Amino acid sequence: MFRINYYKRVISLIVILFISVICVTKGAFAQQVGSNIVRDSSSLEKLSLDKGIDSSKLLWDKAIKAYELSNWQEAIDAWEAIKPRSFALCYNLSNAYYKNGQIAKAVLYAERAMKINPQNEDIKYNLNYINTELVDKIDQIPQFWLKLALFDLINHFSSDFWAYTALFFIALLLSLVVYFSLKHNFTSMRLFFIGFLLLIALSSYLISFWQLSNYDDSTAIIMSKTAVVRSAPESVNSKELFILHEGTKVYVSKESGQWANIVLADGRQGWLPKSKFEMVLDTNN
Amino acid sequence: MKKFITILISLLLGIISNAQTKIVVESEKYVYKDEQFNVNFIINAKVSDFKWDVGEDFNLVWGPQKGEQKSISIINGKYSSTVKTTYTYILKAKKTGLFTLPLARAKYEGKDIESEPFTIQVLDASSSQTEEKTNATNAQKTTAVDSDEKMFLLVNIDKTKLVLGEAVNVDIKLYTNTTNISDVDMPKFPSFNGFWSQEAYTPNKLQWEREPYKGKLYNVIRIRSYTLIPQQLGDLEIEPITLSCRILRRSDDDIFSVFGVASEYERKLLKSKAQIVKVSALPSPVPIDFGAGVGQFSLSDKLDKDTLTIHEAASLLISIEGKGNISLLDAPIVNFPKSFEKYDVKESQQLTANVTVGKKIFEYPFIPRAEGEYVIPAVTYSYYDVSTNSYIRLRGAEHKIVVLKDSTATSASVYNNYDKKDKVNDLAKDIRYIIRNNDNKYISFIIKDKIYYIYLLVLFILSIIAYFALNRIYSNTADVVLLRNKIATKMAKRRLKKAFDYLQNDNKQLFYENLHRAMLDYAADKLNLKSEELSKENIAYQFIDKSIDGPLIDRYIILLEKCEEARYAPNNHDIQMNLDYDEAENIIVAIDKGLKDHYNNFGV
Repeated sequence: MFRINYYKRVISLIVILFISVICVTKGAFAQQVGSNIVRDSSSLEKLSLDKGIDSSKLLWDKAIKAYELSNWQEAIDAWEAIKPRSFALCYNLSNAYYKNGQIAKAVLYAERAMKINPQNEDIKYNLNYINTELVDKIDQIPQFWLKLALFDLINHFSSDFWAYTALFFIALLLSLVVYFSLKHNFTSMRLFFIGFLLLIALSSYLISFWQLSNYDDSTAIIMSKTAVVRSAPESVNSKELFILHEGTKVYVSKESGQWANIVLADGRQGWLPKSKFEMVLDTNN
Repeated sequence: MKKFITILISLLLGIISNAQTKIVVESEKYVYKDEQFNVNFIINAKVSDFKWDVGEDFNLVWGPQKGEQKSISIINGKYSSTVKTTYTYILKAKKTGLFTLPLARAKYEGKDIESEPFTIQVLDASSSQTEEKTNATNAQKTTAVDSDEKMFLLVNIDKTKLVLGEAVNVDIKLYTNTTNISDVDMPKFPSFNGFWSQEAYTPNKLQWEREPYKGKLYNVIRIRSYTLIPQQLGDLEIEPITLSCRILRRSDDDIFSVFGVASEYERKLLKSKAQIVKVSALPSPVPIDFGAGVGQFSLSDKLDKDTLTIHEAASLLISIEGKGNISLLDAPIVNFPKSFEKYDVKESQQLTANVTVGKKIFEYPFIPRAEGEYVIPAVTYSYYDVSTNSYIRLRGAEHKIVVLKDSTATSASVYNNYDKKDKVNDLAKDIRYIIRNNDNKYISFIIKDKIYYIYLLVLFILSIIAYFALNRIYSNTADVVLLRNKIATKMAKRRLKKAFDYLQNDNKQLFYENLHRAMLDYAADKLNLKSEELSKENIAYQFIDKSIDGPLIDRYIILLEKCEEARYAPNNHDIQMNLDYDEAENIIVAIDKGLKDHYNNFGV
């Protein structure tokens, strides 16, 4: 008749399950290819209207046809007109520029594609391949292998995955809090468990945030055939430190007028005119 | 017929002999006005009727003077004699300009022969002394250096604006307006940084010639010539050349001067000026088959064998011939079929005395490893022609090859590494293919979006709602319990009343039944027990839990047992019924009070 305890348990369990199912599906949704929504809040306005989507499709097909006929420039022009840029678009543009002999642009778009989908095997191969043809060979500062392995594992999942995982654990946590409050049973063991869940949720969120902050690391690619890097942001009284060539990746640390201070992968830094390079992440991405 | 042949033969002979017998003119190419100079007509035969007129441009000072030389030589038993006749004149130029000497004529074996034309450039004499003047006044006592003595080194470069790879000739000459240099030594030649260099002329013996420079005549020796091919872009500097020359100093009042023996020597160090050669890059785009050639070339290629057999070596020979930077030509690219085993290209070159003329031969040895019909596509090779400022593409021939199988079948086993199984070699590497369908995958950071935090807020709100909702449900059931509790006493009282009715009617059975029921239901409602939990032990236990007095519980149990007994074993105890009825009422009131107290103390 009045199986009140039983009902309590059942109802709380249902609530927990319901919330967690929502979170998991949302999380899976974020990882899925085919998500058509641009999530970057600043560019939500750039969502294609119906007309926009149609013309993008036309341009895309035109570019594919041109590429098949080895009309590299035509393919480039068509693809360049499509905004916003998806992973496939950046990947294809990189290919087209490479075939057209514009190696700096090829590297630029390959890097952009990598930003969107760093785990894709083809883009990793292509970028590696193109990099062997560059003039400059800069030694990377070696990193601790454990650190690299850890980052690899983390980055296997997207930032959104970690964000939804955090939400899931928060939901789980809240359900348990409700359940225990109703039962008036807050043993220290249970409190500890809730605290643990909170910790996991927080870590997950922080990982997501860390990935976000890593995303915009101000990388740029040298576009001109040669670029002289100097000791100060002017060309009269500064010393020439070293010369970079097209396709080399640099990190922009600060700016001063028409000049920017860049850092190489091996740690060296210097100034060069902003016109000599192009940022990997620009407003269009 | 005979006459015709004789005439033909004699004509031929005449032509031949004419070709062999000629009048050679020896003279100065450059003279000063009013300078006396020699003109020699040398004929390598005995001639008659030698005639020469001095013409309008020159004055005859003296001549002709005839000289004859005979020499006999016996080589390999063959007897041959040569005769050399020389007619010498001394002339003096009337005015400055470029003049051609009139031709000299002579008759040899009945045939007329002529001299070659000879041009002389007449320059204005400078105000400074010429050597003739100094000789004429040799009575003067001069030991010191002539104040107008000029000596310098010149580096003549044909062209100072070059393209990368364009060959250029450099002459190093010593100019002097004296004749007292005995020798030159300690030359220091530049290193020609940025150039490929080769000596084109290094004389064993220094030969003096007369050459003009800036309108004046000098005695010149060509020290050395180089062929330079620039290998770097930009302004390349040709460093100065230094040279030491030994100058004779004759003092005229020395007795030895009469014999022309020098008494003093002086060393003078000469240095040329540094020069800049501007080297510009070849125009872009450079063809893909460009082989670093600058100049004019032609290409020819051939296989050294007509028929090829499997596992038998053969070579493709490509020869590039012409004028330019031959030595620096790169090997053309040849696309052999994949089953041809290639070996390193061998290079060899044949150059004329002029290093920029000749040919370079590239040998491409190979061994076909599989039989069949193959084609070696025509080789293309581009070079840059400076005169037309363009790239010219040369094309070789396409070679169709049939590779025959080896007659001896067993030989295949020797080469089984290549024949049977081969590691799959990379023919080429390339980037991976494009993605055909737009995946519309964009980067997304949900934590930047407000919606994420809305989700979080929703979760919190949901949980709060859940809490209160569930609490309500919980408390509703509690309310039911409370309600049940509340009406328990009323229900019991009602039941008791019913029992009382039966008491009055002396219905023992029903009386005890109702009494029993009243007691039990009261306990069930008050203690919130289900029917299966209504054992005497359980009821007692629950009452204890609710801190009811022990003795009271005992009374309750005893009464309950009495009712059971009475129900199932009827006895005539009227008095008992009344007593039992009162007892039941008292117990219920007492338990009621006890439960209330318990609730007030513990809230449950």
